Amino acid sequence: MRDEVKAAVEAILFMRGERVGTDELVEILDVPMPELRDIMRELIAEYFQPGRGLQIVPVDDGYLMCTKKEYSDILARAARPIRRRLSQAALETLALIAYRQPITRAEIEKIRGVKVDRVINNLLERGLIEEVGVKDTVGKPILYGTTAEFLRLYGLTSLKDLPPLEE
Amino acid sequence: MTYLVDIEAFHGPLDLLLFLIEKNELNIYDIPIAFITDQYLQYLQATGEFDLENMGEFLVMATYLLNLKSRLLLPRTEPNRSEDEEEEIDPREELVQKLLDYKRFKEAGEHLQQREQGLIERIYYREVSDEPNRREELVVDLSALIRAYRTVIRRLPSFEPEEIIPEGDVNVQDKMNEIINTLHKNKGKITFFDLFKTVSRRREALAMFLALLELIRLQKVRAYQNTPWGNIHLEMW
Repeated sequence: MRDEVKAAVEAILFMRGERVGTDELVEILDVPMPELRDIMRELIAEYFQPGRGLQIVPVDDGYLMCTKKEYSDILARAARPIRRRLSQAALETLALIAYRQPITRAEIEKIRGVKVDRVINNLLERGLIEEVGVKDTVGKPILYGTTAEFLRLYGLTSLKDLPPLEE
Repeated sequence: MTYLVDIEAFHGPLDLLLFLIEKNELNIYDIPIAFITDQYLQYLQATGEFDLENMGEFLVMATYLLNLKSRLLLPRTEPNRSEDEEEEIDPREELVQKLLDYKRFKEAGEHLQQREQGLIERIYYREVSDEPNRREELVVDLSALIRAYRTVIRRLPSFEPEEIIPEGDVNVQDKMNEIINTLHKNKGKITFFDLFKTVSRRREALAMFLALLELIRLQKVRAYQNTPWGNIHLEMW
């Protein structure tokens, strides 16, 4: 039984290829939370063994199956090329949103010193950022934050992986 | 000067200033404002055609620099000033802060690019989809809606004080109109939880939920998620 659950979790994490929440796993597999956590501990340890290119990482009360860091050189060569690179203006804005989210357009413009309407639309279109709510101030401006696609593109398991900003 | 500077190569006035500071190897904490202002204005003059759309921000900065320059030319200490006030704030402080902030995110952007290209040790996710744009939407099914509704209900008091006699039943039709109005006010879009933000009673929540289901059935509103288990977004059809 236990081995079956372990195999099933492994299969789910492989299939999804993104963070899957523990609440979702509990519902799909119909196992109690403590047991799931136990099983995950075992599975993570098994993947930790040398001779494996994959790892399972606990992320924000969920799990992610992804490649191990050691192989990033090789994988950079294996990865599908990105169709359209982001402009430098877009990258700067994206970084700003990543570190300061949730953030409004006006707040971004204040730091960047330029209008960012077009850049924001571009980032929205690519699914790297999304509207996450409205700020409780005059005019209820929209707040933006980064998406799961952002984490995927830049190889981050969560926002906590972002390096601290330069002082 | 005959050559033209492509001002668009700079991502705004701060980018140009940073470039000038680095080019002239200046100390960012001790910028010679007069010098940098001259340099900055020379760049603007060399831009050739003035495209107001793009130049506006550069001109605002030029004004700011000129203003800063004149403030620095004024005598710094007044004779009657007491000792405590000696520690005057450097008028350049604000600019320095802006430049540092900008520089920080410029570097963070470069870091992201290096990660993307695998120049920095990173993990890779499985490449799931062949589609160029993975932002396909998921139409929300009933169970996801019910789950979200339960979350809303849990936040509300479980019983209503008896002395409050309900002023007639909450009308589902009214709630439908309310949802449509709210959507209109929010440019046709709102998240499920934001819609229920103003709801304070369970009866009202139920009426709102029924109204929402009806609107979805009538195809006046559609519900979708950007990721499985993501936020439920509501939108006018």
